[in-house]
Order: sequence, then structure tokens, then C-alpha cells
Amino acid sequence: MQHQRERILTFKRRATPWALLSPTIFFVGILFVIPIVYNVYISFFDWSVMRPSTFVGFANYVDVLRSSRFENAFGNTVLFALITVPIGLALALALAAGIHKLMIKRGSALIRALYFAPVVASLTAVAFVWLWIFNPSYGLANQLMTALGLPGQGWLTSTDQVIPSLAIMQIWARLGFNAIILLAGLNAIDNSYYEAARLDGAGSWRMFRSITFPLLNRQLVLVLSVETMTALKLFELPFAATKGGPVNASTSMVMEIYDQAFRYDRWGVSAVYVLVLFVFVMVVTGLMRKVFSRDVSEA
Amino acid sequence: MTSQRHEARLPVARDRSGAAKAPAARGTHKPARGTQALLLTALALGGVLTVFPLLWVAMSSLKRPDEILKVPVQLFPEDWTNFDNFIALFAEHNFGRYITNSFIVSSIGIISSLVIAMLAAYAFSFHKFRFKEPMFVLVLALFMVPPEALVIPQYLMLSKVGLVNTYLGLAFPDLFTVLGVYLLRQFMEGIPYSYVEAARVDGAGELRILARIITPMVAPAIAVFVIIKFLFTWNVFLWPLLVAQDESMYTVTVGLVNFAGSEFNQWNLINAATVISMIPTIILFVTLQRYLVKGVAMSGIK
Amino acid sequence: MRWKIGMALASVAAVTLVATGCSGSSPEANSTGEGGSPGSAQCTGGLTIWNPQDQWRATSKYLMNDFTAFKESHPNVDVNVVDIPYGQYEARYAAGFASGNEAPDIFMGQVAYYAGGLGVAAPAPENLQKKWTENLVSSTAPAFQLDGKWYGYPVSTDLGMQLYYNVAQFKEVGLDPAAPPQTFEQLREYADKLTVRNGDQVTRNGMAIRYSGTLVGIADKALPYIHAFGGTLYSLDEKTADGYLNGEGTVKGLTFMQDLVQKDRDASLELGSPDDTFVQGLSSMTFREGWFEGYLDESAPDLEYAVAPYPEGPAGYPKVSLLFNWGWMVNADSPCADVAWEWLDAVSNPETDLELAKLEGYLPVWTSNYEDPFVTARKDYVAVQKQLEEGPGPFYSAPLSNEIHTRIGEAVEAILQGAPVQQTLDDAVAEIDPLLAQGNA
Repeated sequence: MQHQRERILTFKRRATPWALLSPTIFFVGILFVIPIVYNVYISFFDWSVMRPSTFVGFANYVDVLRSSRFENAFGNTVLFALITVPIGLALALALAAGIHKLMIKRGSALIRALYFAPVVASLTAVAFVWLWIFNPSYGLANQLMTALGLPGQGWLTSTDQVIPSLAIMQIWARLGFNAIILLAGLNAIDNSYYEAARLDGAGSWRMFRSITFPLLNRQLVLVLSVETMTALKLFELPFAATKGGPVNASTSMVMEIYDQAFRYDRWGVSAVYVLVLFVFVMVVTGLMRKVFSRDVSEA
Repeated sequence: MTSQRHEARLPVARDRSGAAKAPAARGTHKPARGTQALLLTALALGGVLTVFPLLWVAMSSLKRPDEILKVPVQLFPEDWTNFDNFIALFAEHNFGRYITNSFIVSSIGIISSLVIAMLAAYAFSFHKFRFKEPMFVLVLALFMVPPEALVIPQYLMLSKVGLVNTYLGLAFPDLFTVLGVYLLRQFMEGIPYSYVEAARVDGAGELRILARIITPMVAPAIAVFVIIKFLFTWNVFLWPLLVAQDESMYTVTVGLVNFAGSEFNQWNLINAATVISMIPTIILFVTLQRYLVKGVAMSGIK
Repeated sequence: MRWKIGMALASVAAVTLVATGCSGSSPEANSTGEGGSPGSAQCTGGLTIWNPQDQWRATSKYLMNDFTAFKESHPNVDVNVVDIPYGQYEARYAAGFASGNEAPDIFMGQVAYYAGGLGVAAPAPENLQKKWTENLVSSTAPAFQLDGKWYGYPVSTDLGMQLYYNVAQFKEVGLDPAAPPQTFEQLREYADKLTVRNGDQVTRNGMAIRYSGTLVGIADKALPYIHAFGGTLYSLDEKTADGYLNGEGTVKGLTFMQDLVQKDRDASLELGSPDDTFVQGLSSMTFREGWFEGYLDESAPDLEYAVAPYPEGPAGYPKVSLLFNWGWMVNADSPCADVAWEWLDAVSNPETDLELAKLEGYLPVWTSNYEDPFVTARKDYVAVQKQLEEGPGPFYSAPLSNEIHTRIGEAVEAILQGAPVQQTLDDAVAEIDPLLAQGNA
């Protein structure tokens, strides 16, 4: 009798987590696993959603990986991430530190709201706004430049500057969001650590390196991961602002995915892009977490 | 996710003899007034600069089409009470309907993903089971794929079950959110196991523990989640475009994009639409702001 | 105990749903290709019509609410005209046609791609073939036909572009507004006089050039230059672009464009789109279609401007060719195809045509309407007359037109940015010929 009761309890304990996870599993399956499997399948076909398709084996993979379009899209996307992530992170950290240091409580909420405002706008709206600002002829950006005595730039119309310009837009749009996460982390660090260090004679930089940085690690890694993944998924900004131009200088991987599938009806090719991007993002994010995560404990 | 263990040594206050001292009380160190004022000014200035483009949009929404395109660029509208663009949005373009739709879809998404995430986070935090970490990684992997890549298979599935052009269909990819599971798990792991254990020993059912004990303790995280999730669903781009078959089901983003045309953009309407689309989120943020900082803080600490 | 069973049931349900989801979306179901799923072939007494052209939203409202002729003859048919946002209409169309039952009955699109390339549109029935051949503007007819058969009913006779110029600025530099440039050489001279430069920077375009945005649009806007110098995009039998896209005429035409930007510095790649800059007075001249008039009246009511026909190039008048030919097509797999054709029959009459043209400010498609004061009183009437006189130019309706015209746009964009003309065009030909071959297969 006791035995049976124990067995039921054990079963209950074992089954519970799975039961709790069942809706999650369901949605991960539907929203993710099935589409990915579908993509893998069609990547081996010259696939069209409106006409008959033919099996082509690895031809799509070979074509894509050797094509200059792929090189271009991949390069643009990576470059974008390399600019956006470190700068965005650094600025967010600086901002969070600044707000954290601010002892005057009265303006604090308003200031936080000001920086958070850009997060609220959709990326399409962000793109439209900055198209105006970056207009080389009458936009505010160049007006500012000339006011400072610097030459006007091409911004979104220049093949060299378009990615950095998009990076500025992205950083602007996400700064407040990341800053708040880091700010929360900063607020949670017990002041006693700083007191102790100060008494020991540590300077600001030393305190930052030995106390803040390690204790902020979780949030930093979180922001780092999310920002990287978001950057590599670049789509809406160039889609709305430059349509991939000029001369494809701002065409990203996801834009290629969209174009190949929806504009040219080449779903197999699009699927290859999807899979390459997915694997790349996984590898990069995994590596970052491995390298940057630290477990912090007290001495 | 297992991470490498790097031990960092934190300073502990010690007195002359080397024995550890009690940590000093909080806030004993007073920063210089001057620095504070400088800091405030710098932050305020930066804030204004940051929000400036949006102010520009707001002011432009009060301009007529020819005003917007005038060169040299006009900062302020000629008529501060020119609400024509907004009137046009609601009268000619059915924007009121779009807003309602966006609200409904966002609400469905928030509620659904919150409940599912709570269940899942609870499972990850307080239960042991095989494949726990690999499952978690699998869930996180979903975040890494751009939505545009998965759109067609998801759409085809939806079409087969006849959910196209329905609210449920519109909310479909948002019924579950990776970020929710991640955030809530982080948060829940900060709750001491003893609470749950005690309740279990008392014979409480799992769902009861979740509802009565865990939920109140993770309230700040829930607030954070609601804001972030609302932002996601409110501004989502490609999916509603495909799923809404007629105008009565369009969401705000679809409506906004509608004004960016083939040959030229209707800037006045775009600006007005942007302003309107930002208002609900701003209100939500302002209301839940204090939870945001507190909530995010505790989610990351332990 | 109860919740445990509930949870177990939930898990089972989840698994089942996933399984059904699996079979439902299995690629096999779609491998037959055509949009229709068998068994959904019931016309449910309604017509779904998709309009993706943001410029013609008033048309949608009219067709749904004010088009009474069809309502009277078919009281049981509920006509629903849906506005599709232009920017992503290809995605919406792809999704709609892929799913079968979400596909529209009637849709507006590019005939060459949807009828030719993808094969989702049906040819018009005999009575309409006859009616349209007899009554619609012949210059643009080939754009809506495949192999001589009508597939789409034209929406507006977009006769291509005309020369818009800023009268005030003409006077400012001493040019006579009544004597617009007649040749491309004159165009260059005028542009030179009209351009305002600040050191090396152009602050006012003598001539506005379309250099960014949708690539097919860029290709479209370069056609007048190409045709004026005797070039074409590809052979009329759509077999090859070699010798055409990279042939002498095209090279000369694109070099002229490139020179305007790079050498003569009469056109800037930075001021903004031709439409915006013309409205702002930052461009003195631009090529644009007839609808631009309506746009200018709303966005720049104080602007003093005039319209003239294209100048002539060394090879003569650049005849009109459109890469965008928007027509109403019927979904071949629609269960309501018959009703759809009846609707199109009802719409294609001179009165409705004139109504819509007046509503949107574009040119009607029925030849008889060209006598109407609405047309003859237009500012661009002289230009319109000229275009009608000259007749149509070559029609580029290769099946894979989307991709081909995008590649051409890329080449033009690169050239405007300064790339070597011949080389760029040769490279483009290398990419386009396989696409042409594929389309012919």
C-alpha cells in the first residue's frame, strides 16, 4: 500500500515537469521545429510555392555559398553586428552608470523615460525618421556637421557609410532598453562592496574592474547575447530605409531570405540562407556565452 | 547553461589587524555637489538629443504635406492645432480599427505567453528532469531564428486549420515567447527552494504552489515581461501583413506601412500614424516604470 | 489527481496537434504546384479583389461602393476589394497563392510575372479578348498580353513619363519656359544652366535622376535614356540580352546618365528622390508619369511648373515602355473565375473608365475617352498626344521579369555611382541570360 503510494508520488514528480512544459513543447514544435525541418527539406529543391518543384540535391548550397550575393549579404550583416554590439553595449553601460551615480532622484524617472522613448517606436518608424535626419542635403545630421565645421556626409546614400549609418539608428533605437537592464543590475550591487574597496584605497577604475564588472556579468552577457542576435537578424531597418542599397551595400542576410523567397520565388535558395544564418547565430551566441560568462563568488 | 567558472575575488573590508570588518552602512559616501550637477546636465542633454527625432516626428504630424517637404527644413508646424492628419487617419483610413486590433492581438499574446512561460519557468526552476538543460537550449534557439525565415511554413500551417484572418491567427507566433521563459526562470531561481519544499511537504499541488506562492514573488518580472512583450507584438512587422486578409483585421504596423507607397511616401500620415502607435506603449511604460528597474534587477542577480 | 489527468491529456493533445500540423504542412501537399487545393472548389458567392497600389486607393473604394452596374446585375455577389500595402505585396501574394484557399479571385499585378512567370492568371474569355482589342489604347496593349492573348485588364494607361520642369527656375536662369529642351543634348545644356552648385556639391539638380529605392524602379526610370540612344534591354524574343543590354545604344544612353551625375555634375545622388526634390524646388527638371500632376497640386500648390514630352535622342523619340504594367488579372484556380470575368466585363466600359481616371488623375484606357475634356484639358496633354502618336516601344515581358529587371536596376545603380559602363553591363548580361533561358524553358 505504502509502496504504491510512493510509486504514484514518484510518477507524479517525474511527469510534472513534462506536463508543465507541454504547451512550451507544443509551440516550440509548431513555431520552430516544423518550420526548420520544412526549410531543410526544401533547401534540396528548386522550390516554388506556385509552380511544380524539382529536386536538385546540394545544388542550392553550392550556388549560394559560392555566390557574390551571399558574400555581400553575409559581410554586411557581420559588419553591422561588429559595429552595433560593442558600441551599443559600451554606451548603454556608460548611460546606466551615469544614471546610477545620479543621486538627485527628482529628474531620474524623466531621464529614464527620455532614453527609453526610442525603444517604443517601431523599426519602420525609426527608419523613416532617420531617413529625414540623414538626408545629405537638408537633413539635420549634415546641418549639424556643417555647424561644427565638418564636411557633410553621404550617410545612407554612400556605399561606405550606409552600414555605419544603420548602426547609429539601431544603437539609438535600443540604447534605453539595454541601459535599463544594466541599470537594474547596477542597482542591485550591494554598496558595501564599494565601501570596503574604498577603505582599502581602491580607485574608481579598480572598483569598476573588480566589483562592478564581475557582478554585472549576468546582465552584460544577457545584453550582449540579445544584441548580437538582434543585430544578425537585421531586416526591417534597411528594408524600410534603403531597400538594401545603394548598390546592395546594405543588403542583409534576412533581406536576401525575403527577396529570394518572396520576390523571386526561389524558396530552396532562401532556405539555404535561413539555415546558414541560423547555424551562424547559434555558434556565435554559444561561443560568446562560453567566453564571457563568469560565476562570481566572494573571497 | 553551464558556464566556465571563473572565480572573482571581491574586496572585503579589513581593519589593521587583518580581521574582517563589518560592511559599512549604505550611502555613507557623499559625492561632490558639482559633479552631480554636471552629471545631471549631461544626462538631461543626452536625453533631449536622444528623444529629439521623436519630437520631430510629433511636430511633423501637425504639418500639412507641403510644409513637411519645404526646404529649408521647418522645425515647428505652422499651426499647432492642425490635427488634420490625425483626423484623416481615423476618418479615411480606419485607424481606430487598427488600434483595436493591435490591442486585442497583443493582449492575447501577452496572456498566452505569460501563462505558458510561468509553467515552463516553474518546471525549469524547481524540478529535476532529464534533458532539462538541452530543452532549455532548444527553447532559446527559437530566438535565434529571424521571424521572416519561418513565416511561410507557419502561414501554411495556419491556413490549413483555417485560422487565417482571425485574431488567434494574428497572435499565433506570439502565443509563446522565449524571452518570457528565460526571464521568469532567471527570476524564479532567485526564490529559495525552501519555500517550495515546505509547500510540497504540506501537500500542496504544483499548480497551487505556482499560483499562490511563486506568482506574487515574481510580480516585478511579470511587469517587465508585459512591457517587453507588448512592445514586441505591438510593433511586429511581417506576420500581420500576411495573415490579415482584409482591412478590418489590419494592425497598426500594417496600417503604417500602407502609407509608404510605391512611388512616394505620404509623410504627413506616416508621422501621425507613428505618433499614435507610440502612445499606448509610452503609457504602459510610464505606469510600469518602477517595476521595470526593480524587476530586471532581481532577475539577474542570483 | 484530476489535474494530473488533465496534464496528461494536454500532453497527448499537444503531440497529436504537432502530428497533424506535420502532415498538414508536408511539402507533398504543395508539390503539385498550382495554388488550388482540391475540394475547396466552391464559389461562396463573394469576390475577393486585391489592390496593392497605394496610389489607387480611391479606386478600391469606388469599385466596392459606387460601382453599381455589377451590383444590380449580380445582387448576390459580395464584392470585397482589399487594399494591400505596396511595400510587401509580393510576400502577401506569395503567401496567398501558396495556401490556395486564401488566394484572391481577382488581383492587380504585373502581367508578365504573375501570368507569364508564375502562371497563376487565366487568359480572358473570347468576348473580352475582342472587346479589349477593339477599344483599349493600342500603345500599351502588348504589356497586358502574352502571345497576343489578353491576360490583364489595364489600370490606367500609364503612357510612360513626361518632362516636368520648374517654370520659375527656368526664368531665373534666362531660359524660355515655352521652349523646353527638344533633344537630349539640349537637356544637358539646360541642366547645366539650372544646376546650382556649392563648391563641389550640387545643391540644386538641373535634372533629377532616380538613383535609389526599388531596383526595378531604377531600371524603369532609366529606360527613356536607353531608348533615346537606340538601346534596348533584351531581344524581343526574350532569348538573350547580349548585344542588347550591353550593346552600343544602351551603353551610350547609360553613359549619358552617368555623365549627368559624375562628369557634368548636373544631377546629385544625394539630394533625395526626384519627386521630393522637385516638390521642394531642389530639382529643376524631372521625368515623371502623368499622375505626378495630381501629386504636385496637393504637395506643392505654389509650385509653378509645366509639362512637355520627352526630348528626342540620337535614335529618335524614346518610345514608351513600361516595366510596371498594372493590370487586373483573374486567378486561374479561383472557384469563382466565371463570376470574376463577369465583373471584369462589367468594369470594362468607357464610363467607368472615365470615372476612375478622373478619380485618380491618371489616363483612361479606352481610346474613346481621349476625346473627353478631362484628357484634352490636362497640363500634359501635348506630351500625351506625342506619346500616342509615337506608339509603343519594346515590351519587356520575360517571365522572370522580377529578377531580371532587378539585376538591370542594380547595374544602373552601380553605373550612376560611377562604375564602368561597359563592364557593368557585360556582367549583368552574364547574370541575365541564364534567367532569360530559364524563363523560356
